[in-house]
Amino acid sequence: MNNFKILLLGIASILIICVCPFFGMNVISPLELLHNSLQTNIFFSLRLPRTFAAFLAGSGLSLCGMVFQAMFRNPLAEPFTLGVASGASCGAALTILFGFELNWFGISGTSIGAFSGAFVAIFFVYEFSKVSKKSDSFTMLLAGIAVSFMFSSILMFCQYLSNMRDSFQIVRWLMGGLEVFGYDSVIIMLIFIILGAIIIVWKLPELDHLLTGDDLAKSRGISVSKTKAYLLFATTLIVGIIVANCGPIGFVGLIIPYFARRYFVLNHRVLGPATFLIGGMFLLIADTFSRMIIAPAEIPVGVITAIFGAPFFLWILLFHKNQKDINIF
Amino acid sequence: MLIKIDNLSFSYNQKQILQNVSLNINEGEQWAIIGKNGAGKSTLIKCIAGLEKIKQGQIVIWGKNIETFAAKDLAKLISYVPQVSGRNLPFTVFDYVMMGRFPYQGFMALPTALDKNIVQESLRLTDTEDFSSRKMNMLSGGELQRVFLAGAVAQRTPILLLDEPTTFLDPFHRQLIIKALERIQRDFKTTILAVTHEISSIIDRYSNVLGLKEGEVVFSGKFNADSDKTAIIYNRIFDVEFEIAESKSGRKIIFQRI
Repeated sequence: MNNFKILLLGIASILIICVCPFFGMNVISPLELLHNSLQTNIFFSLRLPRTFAAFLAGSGLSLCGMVFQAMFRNPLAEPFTLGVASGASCGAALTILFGFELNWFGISGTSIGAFSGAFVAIFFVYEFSKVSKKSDSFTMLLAGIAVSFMFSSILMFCQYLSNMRDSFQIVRWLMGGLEVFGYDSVIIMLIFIILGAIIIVWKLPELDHLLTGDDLAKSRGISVSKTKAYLLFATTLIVGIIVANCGPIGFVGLIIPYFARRYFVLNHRVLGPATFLIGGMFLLIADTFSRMIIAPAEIPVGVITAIFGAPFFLWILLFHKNQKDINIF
Repeated sequence: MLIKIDNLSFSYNQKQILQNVSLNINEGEQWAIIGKNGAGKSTLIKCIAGLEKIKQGQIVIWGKNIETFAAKDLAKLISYVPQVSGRNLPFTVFDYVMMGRFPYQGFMALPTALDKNIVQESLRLTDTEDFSSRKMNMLSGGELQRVFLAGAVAQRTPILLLDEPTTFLDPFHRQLIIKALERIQRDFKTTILAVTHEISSIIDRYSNVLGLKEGEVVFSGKFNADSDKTAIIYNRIFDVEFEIAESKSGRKIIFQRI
């Protein structure tokens, strides 16, 4: 049954990946693809890589949200509430401010900044949890929010210090978007996300156990701190590379795991693939809309996910009354 | 000797929780660990379960220091049922009990036919098979506690540690837990250590008693219902007065004098 659901999601994902590149500022018909070289060029060098990037970003962020939620035993945990995204944003802003420009196999200076920022934030929250010895999820979440505020302030300070041009660049970057995408960025993203996802898949059964509490997980033979370290490393790889390439895209990491948990079982072996696929489809569709709504202009995808995601999320919260049957902890 | 605790001391944030605890436990024994709240009972259980880092003294299981076990190997020897927490776990009962098989499973913890059989048997032993497909957040406290027990039983360990397994249960559900523990003991000769406040039933249900007071062992050994000393020992552990009486059916009961 569950395998069947995953199979369906997989088929749906492939269909959506195949269909979405045809839509955008103007609709390209499959026939044009064969005869019109300009459209062919747009399709293959602009829309297709962007499609992959959107799918990867959505699935990666959702998967990390799911991992954080199980690790911290809190459905509010996601890359944003834990300060990871703001850490990455801050790192990126710093590189823009100091003009750290670089291009190394498609990795830009901003990427490296974002990556280091994400790493610093996660490291901070993790070390905090070890020092405070209070591994309860509430403290961790508060620590994450504190870290998040700290980085946001540094970010604002950067903007304050920078000239108009840099400042605009920072603001634009912060809105999150998938505008300029070549295959090199897609390949880099793919590599990092696959690496991270392999670690996460390997540790999926452990996520079930972490949800029951550290003591019980330990008594079942899980090296809790080692497992957490692996998972944090994996999520840093994924969130870092996504934020570096697409800017901070909010909300996906929160609602998609919630949604998947709600309509699937909570067994992480099933939930992991489901979250990955649903997240990918969600962001890809959101990005396609963002290119079509006020074409030829584009709305940053982060704006779309929140504008359409939030009411939908509230609707789920309100109108699904069967509270006892929820897969939420 | 199954478990040998040697001069174990434990402190947390400069507060001494356990002080020079020494204890020998043989296979098949059932120990009740008693004492006031904060006497260090739960900490002792956690130390034996390998959940706390031991800095002073040592715990040896089958001749091997507990600190030297790999996590999965220790989980094949000792299972642990913590105090019931209010947390809503969204797993089905079957899936939760299957999680007890983790130490025996390989990559991705994929369940084998043997795992499934053992889970079924664990459900049967704990009277939980009727609701094995229900989600845990839909169970009552009494049902939930038996599911936690089933999870530990599925681990098939020679040692079972329980932290107040019956404290929050009504007499009916308490009885179900006791029956389940009796079946487990009968089928697997499991050595059981339980933190308990069920003073009046210790005589019937446990072979040995460990009394802790402010982290120190006040009493350890067989319980003698015929001796007046027993009531005095209880007085010392709890700082309230106890007496022993015999019911019409001849059952010895220790109870608190009011």
